[in-house]
Amino acid sequence: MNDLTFVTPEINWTVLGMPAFLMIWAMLVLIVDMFTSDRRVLITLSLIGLGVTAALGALDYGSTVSGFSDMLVFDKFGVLVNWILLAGTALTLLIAFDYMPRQNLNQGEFYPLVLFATSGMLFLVQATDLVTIFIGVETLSIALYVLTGFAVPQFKSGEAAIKYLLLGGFAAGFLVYGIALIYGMTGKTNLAQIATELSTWQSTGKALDDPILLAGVGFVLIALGFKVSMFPFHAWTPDVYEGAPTPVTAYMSVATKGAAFAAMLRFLNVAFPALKPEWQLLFGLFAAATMVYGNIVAVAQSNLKRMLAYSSIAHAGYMLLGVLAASEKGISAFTVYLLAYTLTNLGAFAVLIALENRGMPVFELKDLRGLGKRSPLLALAMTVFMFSLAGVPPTAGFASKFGIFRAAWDANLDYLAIIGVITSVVSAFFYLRVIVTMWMRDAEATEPQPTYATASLSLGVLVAVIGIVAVGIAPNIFTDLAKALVLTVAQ
Amino acid sequence: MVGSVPLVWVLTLAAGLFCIGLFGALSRRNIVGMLMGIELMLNSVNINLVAFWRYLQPTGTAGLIFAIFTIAVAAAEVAVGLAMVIAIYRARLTINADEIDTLKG
Amino acid sequence: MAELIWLVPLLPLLGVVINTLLGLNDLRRSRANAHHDHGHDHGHGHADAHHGHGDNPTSKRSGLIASLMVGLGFVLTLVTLVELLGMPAPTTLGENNRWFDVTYWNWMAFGDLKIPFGFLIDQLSVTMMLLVTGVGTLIHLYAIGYMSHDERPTRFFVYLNLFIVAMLMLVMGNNFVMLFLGWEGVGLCSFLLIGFWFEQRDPPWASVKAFVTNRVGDFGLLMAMFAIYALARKPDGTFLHSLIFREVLDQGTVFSLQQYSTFFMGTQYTAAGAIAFMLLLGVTGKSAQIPLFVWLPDAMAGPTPVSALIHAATMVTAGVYLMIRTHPIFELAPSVQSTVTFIGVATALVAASIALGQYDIKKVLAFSTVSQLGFMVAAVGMGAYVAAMFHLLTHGIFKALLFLGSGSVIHGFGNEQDMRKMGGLRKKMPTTFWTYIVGTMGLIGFPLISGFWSKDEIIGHAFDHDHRTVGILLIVGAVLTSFYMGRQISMVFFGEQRDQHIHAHESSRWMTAPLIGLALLTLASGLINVPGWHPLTTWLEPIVEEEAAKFHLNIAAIVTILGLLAFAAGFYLYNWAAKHKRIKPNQRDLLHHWGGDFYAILEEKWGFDALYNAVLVKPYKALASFFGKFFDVKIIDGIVNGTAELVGLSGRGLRTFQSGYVRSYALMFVIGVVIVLGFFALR
Repeated sequence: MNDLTFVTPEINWTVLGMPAFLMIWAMLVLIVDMFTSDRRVLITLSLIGLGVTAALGALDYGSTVSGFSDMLVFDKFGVLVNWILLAGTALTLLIAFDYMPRQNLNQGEFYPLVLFATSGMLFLVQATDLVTIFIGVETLSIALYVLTGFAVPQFKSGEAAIKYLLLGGFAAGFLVYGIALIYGMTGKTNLAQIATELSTWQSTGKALDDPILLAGVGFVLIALGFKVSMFPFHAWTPDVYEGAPTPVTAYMSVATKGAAFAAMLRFLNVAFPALKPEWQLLFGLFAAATMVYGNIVAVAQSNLKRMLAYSSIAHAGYMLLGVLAASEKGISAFTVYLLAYTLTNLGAFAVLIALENRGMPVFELKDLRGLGKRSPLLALAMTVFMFSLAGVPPTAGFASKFGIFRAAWDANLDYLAIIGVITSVVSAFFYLRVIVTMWMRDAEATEPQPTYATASLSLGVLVAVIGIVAVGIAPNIFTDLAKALVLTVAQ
Repeated sequence: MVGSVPLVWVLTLAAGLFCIGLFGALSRRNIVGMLMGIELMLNSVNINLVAFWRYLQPTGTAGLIFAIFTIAVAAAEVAVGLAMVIAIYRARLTINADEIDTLKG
Repeated sequence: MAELIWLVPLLPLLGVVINTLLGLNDLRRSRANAHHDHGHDHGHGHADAHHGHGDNPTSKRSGLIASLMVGLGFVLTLVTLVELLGMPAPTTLGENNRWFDVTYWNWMAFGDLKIPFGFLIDQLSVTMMLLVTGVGTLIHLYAIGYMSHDERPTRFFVYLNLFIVAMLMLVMGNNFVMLFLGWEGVGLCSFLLIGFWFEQRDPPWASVKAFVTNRVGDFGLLMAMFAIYALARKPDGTFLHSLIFREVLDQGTVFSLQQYSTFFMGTQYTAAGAIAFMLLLGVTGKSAQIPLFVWLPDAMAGPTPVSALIHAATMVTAGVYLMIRTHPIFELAPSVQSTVTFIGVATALVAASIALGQYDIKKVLAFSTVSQLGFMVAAVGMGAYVAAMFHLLTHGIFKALLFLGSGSVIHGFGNEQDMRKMGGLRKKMPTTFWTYIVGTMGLIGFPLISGFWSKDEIIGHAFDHDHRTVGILLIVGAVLTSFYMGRQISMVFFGEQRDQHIHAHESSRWMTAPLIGLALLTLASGLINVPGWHPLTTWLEPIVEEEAAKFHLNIAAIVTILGLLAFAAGFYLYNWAAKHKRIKPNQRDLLHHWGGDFYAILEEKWGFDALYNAVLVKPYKALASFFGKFFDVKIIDGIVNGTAELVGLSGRGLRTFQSGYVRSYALMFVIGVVIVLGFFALR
């Protein structure tokens, strides 16, 4: 009977702290939701939870700790990306606060669901094992399927959700298959151990380009590429972004991308630096296609949500450059880009939210006409966001794009940097079109459309604008910070 | 048993099942059918994982544990998926994937 | 205080933010009202653009906020001054303990060039800050009254506060890029404020003219910055690659600029000379010197407080500040220094002569300003930095007073600026009159007041340092100055009012109080560097390393006597003319009758505008219309539109792949998988 003693596994709370706390807190919010229907209580609790989670990251900030048989890591890069994700989540909640009841979506589960998804993302960012990567991806995905279909009596929300779910499940199949193949070939699931295994292959003369291993790596990257909407795995993006409730779209467009890219970074840089020439070439082509496709199709869009969806595909291409550069500079540029993009895109969607009436079928570009006269502050904020998306100085978009292109250039991905610059010029066309429509076209409608710039939304927009201008004016503060942070990833 | 059936056979079986699932997901018009195809894809991988564990790493546990995670995730996904199918059927009186195409362009 | 110095520019910036928000709020409310009674006031709209009827209450609200912010900045600057004074005084020549240099963050970094965001607070910058915030506060207060009938006072005060921020950046920045930021910032604010009444005919053109002319000068400043970055070396021979004042202007570094030289047309030019020349180009733009002075007179189209603050007291002195700040570079290039002196003297004389031919009360003052700036520039060229600074300060005060006085006249005289219609206003606006007299005494160098000391210090320096010609020419300039001021005083305040349709009245207390304040300051400002005590010399000595100027009673006596005679001549001549009805609206000046074509030249501003129009503006317009109407439309647009068309077409084409069928999306996914597998297989 002695060998039946239950061995309590040692739990390293430093490592697990951020995702675990948020997960538990989300359950707490779920329970509170059963007893109160006061949204203010729920959002306050949620924001507190996000704040405490962020503080947990600050506690041991600077140290690098591994735990759970090295399946999770607590390092500077992880904490920094987690902070950006938490900030993005907080902004999402702020801009969603008044939107949800306006659209008759009063269910309080919205808040815990967002927190569940975020906790999965934090987990994914800290994951250093194929198993934990899979768990992180699925945790965030399943919460997002539900969030996409949150407005389900509405026609489009359900369609978006089922499309997302079917294609997401499809991608999950490839993810596990890829993981299984890597596991089968190397006998390991831990990223660092895989790298060690591969280096023993090299020393014993065994060829690295084993087709099954390569297929495994390809499948995992495809699945992560699906999450960040990389061409040609992007097809779900426009439909899902259009159909989902707008705050959820905003949230998905930034947070999912950030977490999946962080996982991709670790996967490539920690486990497979030995295959760098292969993945740099192949995914460089995908990155180029993503930038070209996203920007070109965005030009042809008149629906604003779809335009922003294609724009988010294009921005995935830009972020992919930072990942592919696989250098210290690239990782720091990616982190700054993620921050800038999070603030900017959430802000842009916030403006759409402020203009979206109940049950409005589509949100067309022409609905922005005369906004400059109707509510100049909102139009001004939107102008800042569009400038930042287009990469016009002195906004954050310019500083971060500059960093990404320079990193790509220095990593001998010069053709990607050139394509990036050219497509940025193309992108200016449809971003500036928004600005022109707002300021220089008069509204057709005789009846002025109401705007819903409520207190919480205005707060979110204000934070975004201040952040964008701050990053734009003094990018060095953030790049310096990111530079110091990411050393642990790029070993 | 390990001696009698080579690993390659098992892997081929798993790959075959994966492809059948893939084909199902691509060819079925019924959403439930597509979900079943996806289930098949996920489960074929479980065979892979268990086989790799049994043949290559019988002392470790990673393969086994992973298979359990996959099963759990697949179950959760199907739960959400079927709930959505019901919601869509209520709204549109169809679960034909080709008729659910209002979002496009 | 050193820790709080950032508050000085931040407070006006706060004023900008507050007033912007208040203004937007007003806008929203008025729009709501307009929407409310939409049917009633159709057709009115913009009829009475500005100068509407009745007082605009927002003027007082916004103006007080703006003034308070600048005023607090002034107090903080005073505290800083006291703190600097508390630091140990220098004991040996060239030593300087009274400064601090604070860097807040690393603003930009390009390669090895790091641009900090930081302030250099020393004797020079504190002196400029005192002028900017001190005179600035009084002018802000005055503007409350002046803009009380305007439609958009809030916007006016936003611009005015923004100007203060930019000007403070200019004088406080610890590197060339910060200075350039302020330099462009004041240029922008000047543009916005000159064109403030954009519904009228002239202001938009004047603002564009000012901006474009300044850009020519900015080119020089930029080139100088680039050259300093590229060429400056440390004493050990390695490249400095910095634009921070204290590093660049360090003795050892500056000398390295002399090492590069090139022969051109038989003359040797050093890098220091080239840089100094480029800086000089910048100065001629901002400080309105020949050949770029043409914008300043037209800039008078802006509201009068703007003319007083920007185009007399502060912004136009930025060039003088720049030259004093970078004087180590100028001292390495004696030939450029001579050029500086020449330009200063020429400007002083030409502008003073043009002032004789002007009928517009503000234009006279504008050319007077150009002329006085010429005095300062000439002083800098001769190495009389303290004298230049002294004149900058006294001029800043008395010229602000004169401009505000003229504004009071214009305001109380139905917005009429033609002096030929005025006359006899001393009875109707006594406060304005007496303060105007004080300002005039400052300008013409009435004994023991303001300009008497500062102008004589410049002229005295010229005679002391073998610039006899310069001294004599400057005396001529001073005499001309006295004459046109005598003419102006007589035409505006004495005799009988010539246009009887206008009901003249004294201005409100908001406007007269700052006038009195500035008048008192004018009376006292001579003390700033009074001979025998010369506190300004002692104060600035560690920066400019210059000994106190001697006071020459004989020169002062000659200048003063000549000046007073000229004033009396101008005054009595026009009194006589007025009495004999020789001054009438739309009739040319008495001097034209006697001087003929020579006077016409003065009226036409020596033909500078006509020359620039013929040589630059017209060919440029022709070229622009060629490019605009033919080249751009036919060729460039063809290419651009073609590309855009192509992008749009392919965008619409690619859209069709997004068919809405989830199964085709899955198929695309699988195609991607096949590509990946194929790549790995075929690689």
